[in-house]
Amino acid sequence: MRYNNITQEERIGLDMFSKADMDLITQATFEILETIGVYTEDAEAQNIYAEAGCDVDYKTGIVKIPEHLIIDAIRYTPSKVRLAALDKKKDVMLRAGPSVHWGPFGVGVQMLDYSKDGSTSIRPTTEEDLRKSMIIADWCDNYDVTDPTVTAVDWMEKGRGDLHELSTSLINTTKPTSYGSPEEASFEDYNELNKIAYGGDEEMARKRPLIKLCYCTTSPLELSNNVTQLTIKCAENMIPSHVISMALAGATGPVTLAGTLVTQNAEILASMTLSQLVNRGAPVLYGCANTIMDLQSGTAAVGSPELALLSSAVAQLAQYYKIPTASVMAGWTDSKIPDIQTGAERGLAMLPALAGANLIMMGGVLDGGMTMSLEQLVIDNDIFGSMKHILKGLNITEENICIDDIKKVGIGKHYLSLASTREGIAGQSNPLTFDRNMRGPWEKQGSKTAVDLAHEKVEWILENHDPCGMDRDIVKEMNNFVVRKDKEFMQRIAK
Amino acid sequence: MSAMLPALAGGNLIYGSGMLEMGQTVSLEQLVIDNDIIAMINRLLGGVKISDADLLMDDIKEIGIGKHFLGLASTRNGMSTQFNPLVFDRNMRGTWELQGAKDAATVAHEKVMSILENHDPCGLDADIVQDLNTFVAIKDNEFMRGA
Repeated sequence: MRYNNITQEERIGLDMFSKADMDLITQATFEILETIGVYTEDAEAQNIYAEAGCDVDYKTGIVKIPEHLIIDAIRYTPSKVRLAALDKKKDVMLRAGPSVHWGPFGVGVQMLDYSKDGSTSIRPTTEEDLRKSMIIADWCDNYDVTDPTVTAVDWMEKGRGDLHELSTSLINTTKPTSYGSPEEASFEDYNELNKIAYGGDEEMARKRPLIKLCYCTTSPLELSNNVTQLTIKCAENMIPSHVISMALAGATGPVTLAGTLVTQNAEILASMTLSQLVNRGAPVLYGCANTIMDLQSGTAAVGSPELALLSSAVAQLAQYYKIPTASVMAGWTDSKIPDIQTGAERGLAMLPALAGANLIMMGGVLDGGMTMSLEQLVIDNDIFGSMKHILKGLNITEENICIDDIKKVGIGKHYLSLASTREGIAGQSNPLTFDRNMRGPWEKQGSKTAVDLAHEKVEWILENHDPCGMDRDIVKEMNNFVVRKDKEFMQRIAK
Repeated sequence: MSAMLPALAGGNLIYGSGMLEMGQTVSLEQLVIDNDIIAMINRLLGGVKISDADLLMDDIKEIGIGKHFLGLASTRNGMSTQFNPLVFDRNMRGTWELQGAKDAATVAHEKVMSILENHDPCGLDADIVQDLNTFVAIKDNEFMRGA
C-alpha cells in the first residue's frame, strides 16, 4: 500500500535472522575492528581516527577502532536518507525498515545493441548511450531513481568523462541520480555541478544535494585513499555516501557467508565511523555488492543465490542498526545477453526485496555489470513492477473479501460484470513487455519476444519523452563548465 | 520469482517445471533450465547459517588485511557447498564467446541430448516392465472396442 509519493509500506517480508544471530555477527565485527583493524594510508583519516581514541599505527597504517566508537557511529548515522530529485515530488526517502525502491545501476563499458534475429554484438559505451538510458529510466514508472548505467568511454582520452557522465545524468532526469565511480580529487567538480544545477544556489545544493556518491572498500579490511577522502568530503558536505564492500566469499572474504558478513561489516562500519567522526548525522547508505568467488570457474558469480542471500542478510543487519541500505548487485546476472538465464537471475532480487533492502539497483545490467542493454532496461521495469506488486501482498480486509459479491454470484456463475471487478482492474499488474495473450493472438501479432517488444518501447520512448527539467540557461552553464574542464584536462595531458 | 514466493511461504511441493504458455506447452529445454532455478531456490531456503563455527574468526584473523582466503582449508571445504548451475554460464564474455556464445536455451538443449543418450532411470525388472506394457495394451484394446 502506498501511503504517499515518497514512501511505501510493504505488507510482506522475510526474517532471516534472530536477534542473537545479529548480535553474534556484530560482536564478531567489533572483535575484528579492535584486534585486526583496518588499513588506511590517508594521514588525514589516520589523524581523525587517532584523535577520537583509535589505536593508530602510523608506520603500518593500521587503525584499530574501539567498540564504543563504532556503537556511537551506528547511533549517529541517520535512519533515513533523502535522495533529492530535481523535481521535489520525486524525492526518494530511504528509511531503515521494509521500504523498497528500485533503480538502474552499472558502470558498464559495453553496449549490447538490439538485433531482430537475436544475434549479439557489443561495442564500447558512449555519452549518448548514457543519455538514452537516463531518458528511458526516467520514463519507466517502476524506476524510483535513475542512477547512471554506463561509462562515457568515448570521452576517456579526450576529456573529463566523469563530468560528462554526471552532467548528462543530471540533465536527463528529474528523478534522483548519483555518480557511481567518483574520484576524490574531482569531488569539488561534482559538487560544482550540483550547485550549477540549482542555478548557483549553494544553500539548496547543501540542503538537497542532487547526487550521492558510491565507492568501494578494498577487501579484506582496506580503505583506500579514495574511500577515506570521499568519506570525509561527503560527510563535510552532507552528500549521501554509499559505501560498498565487494568482498567475495572464498577469495577476498571467508568462504562461509557468515564469515564474509563479518569482514564486509567491519569495512563498512570503519568507513561509517569516519563519516560520523567528521560530521555527526552525515547521511550514509550501507551498501552491498558481496557475492561468492565461484571456485570452479574462478569468476565472481553475481547471478548466484548466495549473492541474494548476502544482500538480504546485509539488509536485515543494517535494519538492525537502523541504517538504510542500498543493494547494488541484487538481481545482477552473469548472462551475456537478455535470455532465460537473465530472467532467472533477475528473479533472485525478490529475496533482498522481501528482506527490505531499501534500494535495489540492477536495471539494464548484464554480464556481471560489464554490459548494458536498453531493451533489458525496459524489461527490468516490468520485473520491478512484478516485485513491487508482490511486496504489496494480498491486503486481507473485510471489504477486500467481497463477501456480498461471493454470496450474490453464488455457485457456478462468474464475476466479470460486477462493479467490484471493474474497479479492481486498476489494481492489477500490467506489464509492458510480457505477453499474456494465448498463442493464437500472439502469433498474429508477430510472435514477438519480450526483447522485441522492449525494443519497440525503447524507440517510442526516445522519440516521445523529454525528461529535462532544467532551464535552458542552466543546461548551457553546465555544458560550459564541462567544456572548460575538458580543456584543462587536455592541457594537463599535453604537458 | 513466482516459484520463490510459495517456496519461502512453505509450499510443500511446487509444480510447473518445463511448462510454458500457462501449462499448454512443454519444453524439454525449459525442464532442464528449471532444474537450475529449483537449485537456486533450494539454496535460498538454506539461508545463511550463523554460528561460532560458521564465522571462521580464526581464518579472518589469520588472513588479516589485504590478503586473500583462496588457499585456506576452509575455502577448499566450502567449495562443495556452492551452488553450481548446469545451464547458466558464469564465464567472462571472452570465454563465453570462445565456447560459441550460446544462450541458456541452447546450452539446455545440449544437456537434453546428452541426458537422453546417457541416462537410463528405469529401476524395474524387465519382466515387470513387460507386465506393465501388457496391461496398458489390454486397456488400449478395451478402449478402442468401447469407442
